[in-house]
Amino acid sequence: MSFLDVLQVSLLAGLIGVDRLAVGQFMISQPIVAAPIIGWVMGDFHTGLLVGAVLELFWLQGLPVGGYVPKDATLAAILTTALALGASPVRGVPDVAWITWVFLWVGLLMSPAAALDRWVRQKNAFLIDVARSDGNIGRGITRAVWMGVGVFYLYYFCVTLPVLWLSAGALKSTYGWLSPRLLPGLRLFFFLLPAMGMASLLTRKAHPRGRLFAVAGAVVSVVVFLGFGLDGTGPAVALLMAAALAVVVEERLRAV
Amino acid sequence: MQAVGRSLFIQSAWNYENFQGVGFGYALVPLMKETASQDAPDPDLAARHLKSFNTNPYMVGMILGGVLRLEERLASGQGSVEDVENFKSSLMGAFGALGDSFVWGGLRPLLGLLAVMLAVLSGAVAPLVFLVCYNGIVLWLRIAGVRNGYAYGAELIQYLKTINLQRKIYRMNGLTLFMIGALLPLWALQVRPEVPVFFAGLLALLVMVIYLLWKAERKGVPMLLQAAALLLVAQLLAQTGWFSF
Repeated sequence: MSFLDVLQVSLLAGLIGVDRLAVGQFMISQPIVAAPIIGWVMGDFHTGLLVGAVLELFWLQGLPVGGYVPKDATLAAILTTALALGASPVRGVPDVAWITWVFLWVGLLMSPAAALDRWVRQKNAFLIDVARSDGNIGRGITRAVWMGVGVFYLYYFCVTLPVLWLSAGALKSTYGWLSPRLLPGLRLFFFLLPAMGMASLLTRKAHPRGRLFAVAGAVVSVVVFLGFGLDGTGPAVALLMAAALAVVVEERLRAV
Repeated sequence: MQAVGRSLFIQSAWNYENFQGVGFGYALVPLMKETASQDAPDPDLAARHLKSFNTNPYMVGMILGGVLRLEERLASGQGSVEDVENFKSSLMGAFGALGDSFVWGGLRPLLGLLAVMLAVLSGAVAPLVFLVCYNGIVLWLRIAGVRNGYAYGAELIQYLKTINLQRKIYRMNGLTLFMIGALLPLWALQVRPEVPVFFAGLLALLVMVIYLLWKAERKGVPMLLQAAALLLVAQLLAQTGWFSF
């Protein structure tokens, strides 16, 4: 992975991270958006989309409720996509087993990253003094806000750059040591990862007809997408609209 | 609109001491300038709003609108400082909980599932659809929030009753469960669509794994342990050759 690639991804990571932590929360930082962006920059949009889809489902349960800060899905999406593409041992589309190997490494980094995130937020208390210390308090508050944006930008930049720079070579070497017999298991693990997010989400979704809706979703999906062979955005959105209608009708019927 | 624009920065100086306090103060800077006697913003008003504040970032517009209304009343000699502070402190928790359930717990997972379904079915369009749908809804929350917060003022809770977010959360829960069911066959199909028996096996495996993880989650098994167990199971299954690809 060239230093230019590392620098490019790190600069972009800062911007994506600012969306998550500081400005707007437009959700450019969600894995399903962030990973394809990194993939596109690295020259393989579709691998980015695959990583984004799996991590989106894996992190379905990460809720930043109150002052709690969940593990960073954005950082995981950026690092996994960049390393999977930038340090890939083969030319072209990387093997899913390799992407899984990268993800396992990135997963190990999530706890230290969370600790660093908490540390930054604790140290950010200095911004209150910055806001108050200016004779013109409006100017002080504005300065504190922009400094906060800078801090969060630097946090993402400073985490992404060394991780990409230092771990690319080590990951490739260790992957080379793996027995080929382990690779199918890694591929299956990647395919099963979304099950963790879905299971976690299911524990938080209370609905009296929940099982019925889930089974109905599976049956309709098999009929529409496999039976009739439809695909594309239109049928998927139509399916969601029909399901929304069914949910409302069910609610009305229960009320009667 | 200025308040809506500034509310985008509510998290910018987030810290464990006053959470969104600085960001909330930033949204009120134009008001501080209006109520100032000279060019410099009103320091008392600023000091009051730099205190600890935390709510859902998409719901802050409603509280901001209400505070703008109450502060204007205060500047014209009506109401008291306590009214403003009580308004803020009593609503931030309730709005935070409601916003977290609506946006983080409902909207984001639902649209995430839709986006993954689109990624499977039509590829590149998925992130774009996700961004348009998500931001369309939260932009409405932000703009209508400030507008109605200002219009309702201290009676803001009445407005919340009219939009009935609880019912929307309930409906989104139903839809999310439907989407999880709808996504499973498509996900199983991603692996090897040309062998129908293999597809059925993968679908059954996915359902079984979700069920077991759901049980583990309910019993409080840590995520790391769940992931380690899943990795082990995946290796064992792959070694049998049934699920090797």
